Amino acid sequence: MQYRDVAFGWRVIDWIIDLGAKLRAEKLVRIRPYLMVAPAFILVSLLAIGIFYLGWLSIHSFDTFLFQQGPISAEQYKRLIEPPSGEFYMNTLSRTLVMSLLVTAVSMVLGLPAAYFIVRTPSRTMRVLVLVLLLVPFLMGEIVRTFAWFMILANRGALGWILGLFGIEDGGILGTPQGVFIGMLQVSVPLVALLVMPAVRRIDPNLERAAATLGASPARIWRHILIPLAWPGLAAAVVVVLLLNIAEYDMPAILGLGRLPFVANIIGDIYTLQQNLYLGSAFSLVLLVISSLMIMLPFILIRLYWIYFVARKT
Amino acid sequence: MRYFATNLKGAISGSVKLATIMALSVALIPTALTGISDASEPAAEPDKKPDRLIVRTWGGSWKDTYAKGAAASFTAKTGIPVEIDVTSFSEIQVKIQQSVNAKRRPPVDVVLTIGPMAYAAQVQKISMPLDKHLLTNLGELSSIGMPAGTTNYLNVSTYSQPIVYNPKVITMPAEISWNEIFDKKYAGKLFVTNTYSSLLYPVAKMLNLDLAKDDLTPAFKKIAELKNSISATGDEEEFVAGIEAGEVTVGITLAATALEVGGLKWIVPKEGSVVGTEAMYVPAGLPEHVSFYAQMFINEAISAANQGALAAGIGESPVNVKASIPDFMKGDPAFPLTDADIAKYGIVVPVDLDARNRDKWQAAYTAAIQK
Repeated sequence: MQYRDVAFGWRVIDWIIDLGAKLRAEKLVRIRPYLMVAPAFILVSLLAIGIFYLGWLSIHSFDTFLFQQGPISAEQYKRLIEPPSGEFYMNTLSRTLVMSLLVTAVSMVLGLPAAYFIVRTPSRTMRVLVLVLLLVPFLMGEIVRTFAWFMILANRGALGWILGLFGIEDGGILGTPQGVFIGMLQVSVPLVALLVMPAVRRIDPNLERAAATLGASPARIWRHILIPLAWPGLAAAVVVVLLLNIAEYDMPAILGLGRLPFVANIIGDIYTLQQNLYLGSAFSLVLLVISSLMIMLPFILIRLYWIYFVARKT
Repeated sequence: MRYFATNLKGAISGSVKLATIMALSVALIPTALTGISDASEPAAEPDKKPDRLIVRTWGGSWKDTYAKGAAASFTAKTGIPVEIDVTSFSEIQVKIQQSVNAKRRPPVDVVLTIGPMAYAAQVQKISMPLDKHLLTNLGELSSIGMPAGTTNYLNVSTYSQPIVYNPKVITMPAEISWNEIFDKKYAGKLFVTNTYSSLLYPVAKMLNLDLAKDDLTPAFKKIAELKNSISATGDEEEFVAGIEAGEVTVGITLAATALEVGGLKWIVPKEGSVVGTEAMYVPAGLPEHVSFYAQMFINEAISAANQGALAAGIGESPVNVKASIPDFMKGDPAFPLTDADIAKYGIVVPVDLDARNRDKWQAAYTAAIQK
């Protein structure tokens, strides 16, 4: 009969307990916070390496036929702005940014009241119902969700059929900016509502009641109480939704019928159809820098506003 | 199946070695077809077999046809199961390039791709030279199957990209030029592929431009005139989705796709339509025993029986001269079968010219068709 180390499992547990005790030891207390952030730090470092690699590729010329890297050059960045394709790349970039900003703005307008309704409604049934409706888009995969919209927005889909009843032929909006916009909005609004809900929940309802008692209109209550106090949640929602929209791929590809590509679609084409990793890297970095600036800019402006106007007044 | 495979494996190793059979058969191959490596010694059958062979093809009928045809007969002969991978043809090439550069094992063992990509893979040395001793069916290939100078791949079928339309919605004259699709009556209902070749080559021919020598700006300008007429772009899947959703009534796509959808008609314009090839290669960097069986798979794919099944299954013209030709292909210019047919109805661009200019032409084409 073969010897079996039956106590092996117990020894491992003892070892873990010992390790835990050592970690709790006073001399390790100081480095424990660093240990806790270490995994996140490693992940971010790996991402940084990836971005550095993209940067390295983007500053070299590249022969796609021979698959050979050339000398350091600004060739890839020049291609993004110079003829014959530069104008198209820049159009794609501006379409991506404008559409993302628009969808994010409309999502905020629609998502915040939805979050408020869920938090403040006294009806448990309504709260659950609205929450379920918000969560449904997340329960299905992105491709399934996008194809569901494809079926609705097509000429031979539900929208085309309804418009056909009024004598409007080919009334579908696939392949149009409106079609892509609706598809993106349907994902963004629930996301905003879910991200803003905790912030709204933290607002004391008595503040609203007090303001109303003092004669404030609902619009004033929103402007002076709800929006300022929900600001942390709103800011988080703007960052998440804007970044997700800027990186959108499926909606422009499927609902745009390939006619209204976003930067992510074009980067995909550059990588695969053109086999040019170097040009794709350059475009990826341009998008990364611009989207980072877009995220940072409002925070910088708000900070400046607080420093120079609000703080001075008080 | 496992029982059968095990028995077959025993039968082969117990009597005559597979490599010996191949070495004997190779004498039938005409010496004219010699781009492929002609090592004096036939490759010895490896001691071990791979657990499976991963073959990259397209999805849909490609996957089904290869699974039932070449993969099934390969498994029956070797006992090695075949797994079909449907990663995009362009994506898999990038993955193989990266794997070979990093000296890692490539993600697939056999690649079915388009001719220019297979040629690029040969030039980039990311594919391995094929061994003539293992390709016993080589002698049955037409000149299209193994063009002169190729060492690392074989063409396994040809396809054409005519103008396809929905006859329930529009009618087309019996004889047309490529200029027809520029007619405003097709505005908002036109599909074009997202790869340049299907439209750039016909438009260049229409404008009498030499792809190798002339500046192609006029061709891209002409294509850009379609910008507002195009309702959808993409691959075959997007064409089918567009037709079914009523967004597309006319488009440029594979005759094979039109055949698969059903209820569509196609027409080869007077300038001809692009005739391309699908090719197979074995990525470099595979273990020796895997590459041995990968080449055996390619040999199965070009056998007369599997080529006939391929023609019937996916509607692409076979390159094995002994393959049976489905009735629907006979006499249809969208399925050119002989060199004479291709010369008459096809627009053929040399693979090296295509591969060399892929990056430049694709970028200009995308800018021309997209908004």
